Amino acid sequence: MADIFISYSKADHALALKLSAFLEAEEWTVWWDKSLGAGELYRDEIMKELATARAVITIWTENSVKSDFVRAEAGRAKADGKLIPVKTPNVDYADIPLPFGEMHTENFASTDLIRAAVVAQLAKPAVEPSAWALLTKGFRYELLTWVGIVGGALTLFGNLDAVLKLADWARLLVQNWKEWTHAFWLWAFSWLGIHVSPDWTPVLSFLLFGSLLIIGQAVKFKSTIKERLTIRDVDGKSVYLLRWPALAVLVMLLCAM
Amino acid sequence: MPGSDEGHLLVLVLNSLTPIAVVGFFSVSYSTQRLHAIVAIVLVIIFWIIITIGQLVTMGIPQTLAEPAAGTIMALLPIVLLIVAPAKAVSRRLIFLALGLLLLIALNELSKLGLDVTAPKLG
Repeated sequence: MADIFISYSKADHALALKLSAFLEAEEWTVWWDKSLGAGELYRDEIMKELATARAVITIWTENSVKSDFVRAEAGRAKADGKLIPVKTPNVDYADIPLPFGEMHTENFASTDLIRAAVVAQLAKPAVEPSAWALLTKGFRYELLTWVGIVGGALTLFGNLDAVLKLADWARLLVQNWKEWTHAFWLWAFSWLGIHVSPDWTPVLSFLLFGSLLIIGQAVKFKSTIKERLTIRDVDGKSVYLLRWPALAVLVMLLCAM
Repeated sequence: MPGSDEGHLLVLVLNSLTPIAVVGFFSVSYSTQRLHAIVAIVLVIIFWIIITIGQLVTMGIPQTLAEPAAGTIMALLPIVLLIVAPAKAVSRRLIFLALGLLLLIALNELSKLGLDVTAPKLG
C-alpha cells in the first residue's frame, strides 16, 4: 500500500515521473501506473492501489481532462475524501471537468503547496471515526476527571463536618459517603493484610480522587492535544506544572530531610 | 496543658505544609504557566489544610510526628503527579472542585435556614 497514488493521462508520463520523483524524495511511497500500454490491462491493480492509497494526486492537463479513466479515478478519490488536484499552467479551472473544477487546485510547479497539501491529507486518520466515537472520546477522558472532582468535593465536604453544622440531607450524605469510602479502603487494604482505621479514610480518599483528576487530564493531554503543542515543546517551553529539574531538586530535598 | 497542645498543633501544621510549600515554590519557579501553577498549588494546599485540620479535630493531636510525616509524604503524591499533566487544565479542574465544595457548603447553609418557598395561595 502506497501513501500516494498519482492519477494521470498516459500522454503525460513525463509529468507523472517528475511528480513521483519529487514525492519519493520527500520519503513518501508513491504508486503510479508506469506501464505505457492500455490501463485496462492493469485495471484491477489500479483500483486496488487507488482504494488503499491515503492520498490521490490527479494531474489535470489538456490530455487528462478528456480521459475517462482519470475522471473516474478522481471521482473515486473525491468520494473517499483524499483527492489532491494539481493542474498544469495551461489548464484553466473552466477546462477541468465538473465537479473537480470547483475544487481548489494547486499548480504543478508549486511543489511547496503540493507538499503541504499531502502533509495535511496524510495527517488525517486512515479511517474517519464515527460521530459517536468522537463524542465519547473526549467524554471518556473527562469521566475520570469528573469522578475525581465529585469524589474530591464530597470528601472535603465530609471533612468539614467537624467545623460545620450539617443539615439533615448533608449529614446523611456525609455519613454514607464515609461508610462507602471506608468499606472500599478496608477491602482494598485487606489484600495486603492491613487494617485501615476510619480516621485515615478521608486522607486516602482525597489522594485517590485528586490522583484520578490529574491522571484523567494527563491521559487526555497525551492522547488528544499534545500534537498541537509540539512546536512549544520544540521551543523548549513546557506546559507541565512540574518539570523534571524541579522533581530532581525535590527528590534531593526529601533525601536531605 | 492547652498552651502546649496549641504549640504542638502549630508545629504539626507547619511540618505538614513546609514540604508542600517547597515543592510548590519549585513548581512555580520552573513553570512557564506561572499563574495556573500558583492557582493549582494554592488550591492543593487549601484542600490539604481542610483534610488535615478535620483529621486533627476528630483524631486529636498526635504526640509523635510519625503520622503527620506519613500524611505529608502522601500529600506530595498529587503534586508529583502534576508532572504528567498540563498546569492549565489541572488548575481549571481544581477550580471546579473548589466550586463544587462551595456549592455543597452553600446548599447546606441554605437548608439550615429552613426557607419556605411555597407560593402563597391566591384568594
